[in-house]
Amino acid sequence: MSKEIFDEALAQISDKHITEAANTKKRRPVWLGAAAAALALVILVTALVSPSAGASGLIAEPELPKMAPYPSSLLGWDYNEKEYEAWQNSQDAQYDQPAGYADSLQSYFTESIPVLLAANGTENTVCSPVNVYMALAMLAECTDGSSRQQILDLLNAGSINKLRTQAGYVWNAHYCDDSASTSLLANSLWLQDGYSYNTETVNTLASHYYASVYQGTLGSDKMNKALQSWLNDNTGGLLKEQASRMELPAQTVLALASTVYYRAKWVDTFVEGNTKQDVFHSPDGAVTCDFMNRTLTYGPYYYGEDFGAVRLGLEDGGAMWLVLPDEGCTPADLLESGHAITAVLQSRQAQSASVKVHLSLPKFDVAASRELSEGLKALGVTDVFESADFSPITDYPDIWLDRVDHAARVKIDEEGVEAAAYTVMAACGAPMPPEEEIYFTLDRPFLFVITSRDELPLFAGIVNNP
Amino acid sequence: MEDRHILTLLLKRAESAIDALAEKFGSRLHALATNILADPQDAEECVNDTYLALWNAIPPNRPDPLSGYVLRTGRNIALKRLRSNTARKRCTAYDLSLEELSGCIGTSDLQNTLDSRALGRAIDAFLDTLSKENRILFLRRYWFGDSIKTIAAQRHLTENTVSVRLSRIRGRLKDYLTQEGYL
Repeated sequence: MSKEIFDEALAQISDKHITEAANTKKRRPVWLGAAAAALALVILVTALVSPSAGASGLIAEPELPKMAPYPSSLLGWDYNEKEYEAWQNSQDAQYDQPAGYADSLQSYFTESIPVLLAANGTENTVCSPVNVYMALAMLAECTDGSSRQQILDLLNAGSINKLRTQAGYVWNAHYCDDSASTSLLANSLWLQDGYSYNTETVNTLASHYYASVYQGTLGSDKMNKALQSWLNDNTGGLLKEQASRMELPAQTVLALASTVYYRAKWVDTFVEGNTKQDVFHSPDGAVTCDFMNRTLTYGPYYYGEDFGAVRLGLEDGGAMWLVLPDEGCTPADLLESGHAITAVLQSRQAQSASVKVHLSLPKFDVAASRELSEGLKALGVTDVFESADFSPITDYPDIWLDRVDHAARVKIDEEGVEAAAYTVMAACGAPMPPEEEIYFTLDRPFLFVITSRDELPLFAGIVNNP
Repeated sequence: MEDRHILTLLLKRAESAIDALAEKFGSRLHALATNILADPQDAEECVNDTYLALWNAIPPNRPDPLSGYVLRTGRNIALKRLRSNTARKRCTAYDLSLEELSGCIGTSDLQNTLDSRALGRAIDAFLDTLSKENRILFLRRYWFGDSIKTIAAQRHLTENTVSVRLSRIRGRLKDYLTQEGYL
């Protein structure tokens, strides 16, 4: 009798007390997501003619959104409603993009990810589809005629105005600087001294794309160092090695640079004591590395004809999807079929099951850099490399796109929150449903995709050797 | 994912809301159900029932905070299942914690007219008089049904410290109920 009374009495306890006790995390340091980071950059260089001397350096800087800091009180015991309200209001203001603003980008992501990853060899490969999108959008602003149209076609944008509006949404939706999570997109425009540039286009890049504008003797040591410094500042120093090799040719007329820096914690961190050394079967032979282990009690486990996948949540609302091809199938095979990419981008339609998943994931730190000209040509962007029309930005008649350098790096560990997702669109025949319990051991080459809170692919990669 | 995003998905009837619920609350619901039911199969079914109940309840409900509502729903479903399972006479962690609480105070002392709702409101008011840390210890033990060992690990305390502090809290609850005229 007595137990029943207390049993029922406890049901009367108010939500505020339950919520308080439900969030039982102990105090954590403020650096939060320091363990996981990923970034990428794109450089677009147009070239020709000899340079002329002149003043150099920053001439315009964008006004970046001001975000309220993540309330420190949420990390400890002294909950402060005002701090929380300020942070929440700031978040609401930053992320007020209309629903479906990026729906039209599905075709671009589906088409471009296999090309950007170029998964032919046995090396690790990484790219940032969102980063390349932003650079291409800026390039479209600087071009006209068929040069621009080919970019609009690839990005599935009806007009430059629509692309501009969408790029603004993408930029803001992926900007976060509240000290708990970091997702920073940065753009810059580099102008050669001695040339005249269309102020209107320069202003458009500065205001709609938050681009910093630099002018000087491009190709000089001073400007190369300024560019390298800008890249390092905006990529958290993660691509120092690649940035140190970034030098503009002396013939450069203008350059566009775009970066993304991302850092977040796993929603459920891995327990360090559960990390064990084990063998990863890379294409070049077996290697020993640290595997992080965790059980996902209810999955969900996603599956398709030739792969299985899990989604690991990140604290900023993003996720890392881990896609393991079935035995006998490679990540390149999955990219070629296109099912996996389509699945990632339409994960809500993916086949999934709520089963217990014993996840074993190697810690990895993968980086890759590529020149993307051939890849972009394969995607239909050709004219800008040959008979380019750069009239919106400069009257100079004979310039073209010379190089597109892209570098990216992704690293994860027990703390780092990154998530990658793939969903299968089964084209023919239904795959077998999974067992009640899955051992999801990523001990052979696999795909990953880090998606943002809006489910756009911030990064995609193939780990051949962690 | 933040609670308000999950709520939005539920209100939009997006099936991904279930995944989001599972990701955010799955492990906590499972632990809660296991504490109450002590049977993995029962606990798993209870958690799945909770997702379905939430899917059916939101909308029309728009609970804020969501987390309290989710856990309360899970607990109610687990208790309902526990009551229907009484034939099995399984003594669960939750049973033990409840015995600890009721045994300390003794319902024979309770006024005959007192119903469980009034007692619940009294306990809720009593919780406001506690420090946050003590409140959490009480809730984890008697609402979530966590074992002393689990609480000690969560709070970075020794098991002995947790036991002693809970004992003191129960003593204070008894004093409070006496002072307020419930005993």
